[in-house]
Amino acid sequence: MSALALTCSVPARAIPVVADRYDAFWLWAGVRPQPVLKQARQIYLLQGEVVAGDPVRLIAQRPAIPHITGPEVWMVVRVQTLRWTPHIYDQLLAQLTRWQAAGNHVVGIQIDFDAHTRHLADYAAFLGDLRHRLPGGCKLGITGLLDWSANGDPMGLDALAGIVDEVVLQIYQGHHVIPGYADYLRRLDRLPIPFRIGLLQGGDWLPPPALVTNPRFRGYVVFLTNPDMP
Amino acid sequence: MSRLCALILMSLACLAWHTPAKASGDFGCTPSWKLAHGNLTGCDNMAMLSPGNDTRINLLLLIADTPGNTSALADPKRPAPDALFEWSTLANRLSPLPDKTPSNDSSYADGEGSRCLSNMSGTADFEAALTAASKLPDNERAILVGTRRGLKPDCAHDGKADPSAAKAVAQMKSATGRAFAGYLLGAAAFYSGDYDSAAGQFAALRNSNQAWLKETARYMLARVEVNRLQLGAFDEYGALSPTAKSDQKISAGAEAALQDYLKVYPHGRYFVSARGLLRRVYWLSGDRQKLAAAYAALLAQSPASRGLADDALAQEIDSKLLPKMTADDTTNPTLLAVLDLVAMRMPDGVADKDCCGEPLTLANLEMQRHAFASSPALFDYLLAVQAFYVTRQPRDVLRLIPDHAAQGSFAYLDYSRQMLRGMALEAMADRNARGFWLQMIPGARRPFQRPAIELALGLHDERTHALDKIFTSQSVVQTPAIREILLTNVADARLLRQQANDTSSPAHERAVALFTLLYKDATRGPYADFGRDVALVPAGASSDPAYGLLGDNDPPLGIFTQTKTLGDYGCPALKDSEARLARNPRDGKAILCLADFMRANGFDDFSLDTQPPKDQLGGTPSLFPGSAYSRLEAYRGIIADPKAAASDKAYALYRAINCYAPSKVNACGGPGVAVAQRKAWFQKLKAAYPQSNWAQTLEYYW
Repeated sequence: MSALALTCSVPARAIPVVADRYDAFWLWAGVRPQPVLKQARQIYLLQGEVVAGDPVRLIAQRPAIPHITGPEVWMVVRVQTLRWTPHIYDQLLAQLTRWQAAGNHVVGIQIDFDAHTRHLADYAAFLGDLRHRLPGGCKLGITGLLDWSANGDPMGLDALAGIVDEVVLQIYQGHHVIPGYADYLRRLDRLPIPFRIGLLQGGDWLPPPALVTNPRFRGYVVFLTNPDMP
Repeated sequence: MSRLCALILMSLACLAWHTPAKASGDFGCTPSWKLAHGNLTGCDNMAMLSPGNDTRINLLLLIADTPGNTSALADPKRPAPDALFEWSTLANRLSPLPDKTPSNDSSYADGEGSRCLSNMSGTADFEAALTAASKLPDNERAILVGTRRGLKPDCAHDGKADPSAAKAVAQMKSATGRAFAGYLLGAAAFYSGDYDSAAGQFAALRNSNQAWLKETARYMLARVEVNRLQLGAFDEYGALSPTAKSDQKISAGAEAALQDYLKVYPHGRYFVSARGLLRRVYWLSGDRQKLAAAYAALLAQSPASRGLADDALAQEIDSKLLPKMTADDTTNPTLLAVLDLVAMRMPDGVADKDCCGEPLTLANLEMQRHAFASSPALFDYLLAVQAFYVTRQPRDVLRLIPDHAAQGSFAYLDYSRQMLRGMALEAMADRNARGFWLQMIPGARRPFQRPAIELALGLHDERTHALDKIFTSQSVVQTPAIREILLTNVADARLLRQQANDTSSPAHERAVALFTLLYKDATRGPYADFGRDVALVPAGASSDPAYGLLGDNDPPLGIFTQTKTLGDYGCPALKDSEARLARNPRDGKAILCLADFMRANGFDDFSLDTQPPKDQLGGTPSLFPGSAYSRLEAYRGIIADPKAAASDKAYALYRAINCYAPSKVNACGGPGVAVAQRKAWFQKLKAAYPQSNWAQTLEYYW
């Protein structure tokens, strides 16, 4: 939100995110793979999108099944609605099996849903149910809004903490780093969940002083972008 | 500041991520409440064709204007949507599915074109065909059913064909049974990736006397070729490989096989699927012109006849065609217009300055004029967009788009034209701008049209110091978010009090007005007013933490009357502290009690202490006197006051130092102080008030 730009200090020494310095990446649909993926330890790969409508549908977003050898793979599902039909769960689990059968080292499923800051408890209930359906050993991760750390309902955050293995907090929206991200990050100590910070390739980043000493901080994930993207 | 985010997040359902090629990225949605959006953000889509819109939105708006398309009719039973929205909001609203049970398995043009996706539906179809085959002995039918059900393709690897199909063949005595078993042999080979064998089996069935086998074999022959084309086409990440060169011979074969099926079976059971596969062949082989022509043909059809919902079509065009399409690839006005709008994206503000390439020039746009011979209104609109966004000549917009604000109902193109004309009038400070917007209101009947005009009126009245017009009983501005943004950011005490008391206003708006009034009464100076206004808080009002104001739930007015969460300084109810401040604004205990109330109730950086940027709704200076509240400033006042009581000074020092705990960033608002000042405060607390609890409990400064 641009309101932030006026009211929040943007760190003067922030520097653009150079993907070469990181080892975990999101690869979204429409974004072309880059050589830096060869150094990845984790790749968060968009599989599909659960689209609202009647009926709710899971639409594949990759034109083919990946065959990634080496890095750990998180199968990412973008989710518009939490009203999943039994068929959606079947499709998702079948897809998980197929990715595994293709030789990908799938460590978990990441759900990318914009849970409102106030409704985290509802989201936690959905995730708790999903967790029970996943095969043993398959982790469950989510993306999170920066706002959660500042304003998330403490009970909702606690509920999430018991269910998900990690949350990746994005410090950007669209093609821009959220100008006031540093102000959100200062409250990260409120977040009772192991977390990563999601950075934007080429976007600004200055780690806040307390980040590296936060016991729940697990590192970064860089969202790759096409170099020629407007 | 962070609260403001929460507040706006809740007023528009916010999206984070989505996937189109031209709009790739993820979005935590916080819309910019203004009319001109030069660049894509994902959150600021409007119902007018615009450079800042997601390409899929521009496509969908143009599709909705297709003659006979009924999807864009407003449904009075549904609540009015907001002026600014995300892709999924529009897609769900404007794009009903062609039918309610789409087969997820039969769509190959988008998503994965894997040979295995049809396995489940293929089994059911096969069994239905067996049931319909009259000359098939029951025992053979049972064997065939069992064999088909047993076929479990290994989709990830190419392996050996399932031997059970060959066994079934051996058990067939009847000609019909042998034909169906032959199909199973082909299917087993297909699913195991043995395309030569599969093609041989299916070719042998092309003239079968079983209608289902005859048609299906011809379709499967084409699918074999498509799957052959896909070999090696993708990289390890499942993306189209940039280095793979598609084999012209194989792609020509796949195209011919699909065309053959489509020609023989123009109403066939696989028609929609085969046509989707044909587009996939064009995409795989990089034939942009044929791909564009295929989409141009689909754009003219209804969702039912193309077998593809409007939003799915827009999505597919966006991901498969637009990323590489150039203006030379098509003469279709819709596709060109969408491409041109992208080419006219411009930076929205300083932070955005590197966003966009060289914008489309007038000369280059003029070169497309012939392609728009059948759509002059669309072409003139593109010229006007070029004038407005690229060369910034609003006068040219007025010349290109005549005034036609009064219409019975607007198609989306008509609407876009008149909206842009209105924006040009505003840019030129034309004195009839307000009248123009009002003229547009009655015709704005389709989804998402009216709220954007209300936004225009809100911006206009705010900037012409006529906020009261928005809140008269005859006001046409009814969108809750627009009204509430103006109340929370700009309104003075009189207007807030008026809306808080107005029983004809929506309950949520009344509560927002009262919450804003009480908050600003309490923190900006008119303390005596707080005592009167707080009487308006209804009994039993919630006092839950205020996570946001503009969301669905009513704001928790009970926070101002509750006596449980008042802080750690032995403070009375807020209204008592306010009464003390009304008598003496320098009353140290009351200042600290107000600060502790704010701290304990989570009001640091609250949205009511920030404002949107100047060019957005709510961005003009607040008419409520006084300035944004800062706890740190309150503590500094006590620390600097020579007459302040020792106990108050000690607490003020303790709290001021804690503003920086533990992150070393000021959490209490205001400009802040250097670390040397925090150190000095810490030393003063320890030296001057060593006996105070606060000095004894504080071990560090930050």
